[in-house]
Amino acid sequence: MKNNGCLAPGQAAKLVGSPLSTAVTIAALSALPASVSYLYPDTPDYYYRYGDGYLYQVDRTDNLIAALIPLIAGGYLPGQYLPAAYMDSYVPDYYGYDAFYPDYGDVCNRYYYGVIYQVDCVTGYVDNVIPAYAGGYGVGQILPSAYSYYNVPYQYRNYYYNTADYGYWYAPGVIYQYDPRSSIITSVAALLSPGFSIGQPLPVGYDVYNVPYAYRATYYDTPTAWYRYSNGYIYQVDPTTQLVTAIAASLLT
Amino acid sequence: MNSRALALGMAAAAMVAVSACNKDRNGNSGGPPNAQTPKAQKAAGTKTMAAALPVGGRFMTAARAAGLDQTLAGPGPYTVFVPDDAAFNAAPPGTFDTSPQNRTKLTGILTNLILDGTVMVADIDKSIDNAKGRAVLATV
Repeated sequence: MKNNGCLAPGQAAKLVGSPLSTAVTIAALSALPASVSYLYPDTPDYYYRYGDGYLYQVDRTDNLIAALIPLIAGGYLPGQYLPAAYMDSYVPDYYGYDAFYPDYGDVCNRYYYGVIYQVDCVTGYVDNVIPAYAGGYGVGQILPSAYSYYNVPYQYRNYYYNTADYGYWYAPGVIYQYDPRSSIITSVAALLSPGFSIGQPLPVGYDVYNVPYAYRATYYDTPTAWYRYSNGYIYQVDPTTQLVTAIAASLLT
Repeated sequence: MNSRALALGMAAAAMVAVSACNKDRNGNSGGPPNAQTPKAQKAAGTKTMAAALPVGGRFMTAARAAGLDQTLAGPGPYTVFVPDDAAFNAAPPGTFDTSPQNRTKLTGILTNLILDGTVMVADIDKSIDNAKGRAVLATV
């Protein structure tokens, strides 16, 4: 079956170990695009082929596909060094990324172009590359080994639990589904919003009533109380102060 | 959370506000597996976002390229502004390019069309009235 440009991540992973001659009958593979070829120069041991957004490392000795490499635009891979200029590119606070990826010990997290790089604070040696969904680099990427534990937020665990076939992993703003055998992120199972804290001002954009339909008969706006939905909860808001005053209902637990 | 002032020109988009589960994608060759567990599928029900949109339509094609088609097959709830074909055609060339190299841009565009929770037309009308002609909507 010749692929028509939509090779699923799981299928791409299955090509690892296959002869290149077999793989080209499944995926259209070609030389690397100029935009990334400088990152993956051919070596005496390996050369590279590209297709459908995936990068394959091919062993010269036997022409078997040795590895599937995450293709991150302008990116750096584990084993490379992050340029010094990027060491000042801190993880943004958007969606709580900075709290989710804090620096600790000799490990620093830095952010560039939608990707979080876990590096040695002193040398900039890249230990891990973590795609951030806001940058659109989640699906098709390999789940970072250091983050392959189950971390789905409590209120979503009843929906997104690991099985023999699929795993789920939380990152700010998203719950990914991944293949536990290949660790490749296969889908976005859910998009999440940050949710509110009691006492915080109602964020911009939430003056619009957005309570799920089934709950509207119970939680409707009045002159003394508004209700807004976010991240699995219905919150009560004081219309005068515009402060979040209570969690009115949890819809997931 | 992103906040975007959505212009009233969004009339070119059909607003779909249903919870979601897409059975059509199961087992399709070349497509991703269903990201929803049986419990999530049960919670989503049958009137899902993904099921409400044409599988081969331009929006779902773009959503699939960004990995969001399975999101729309889940419980949500989300509200989605779905551009019609005329809007797709009027967009600058490459805007909805589904190649992996465009995934960043495409993801940003699509998530700016998805709202948290269930937002009805009347809710937006009321917000516009309260804000004297302008509504700011929180997108995921």
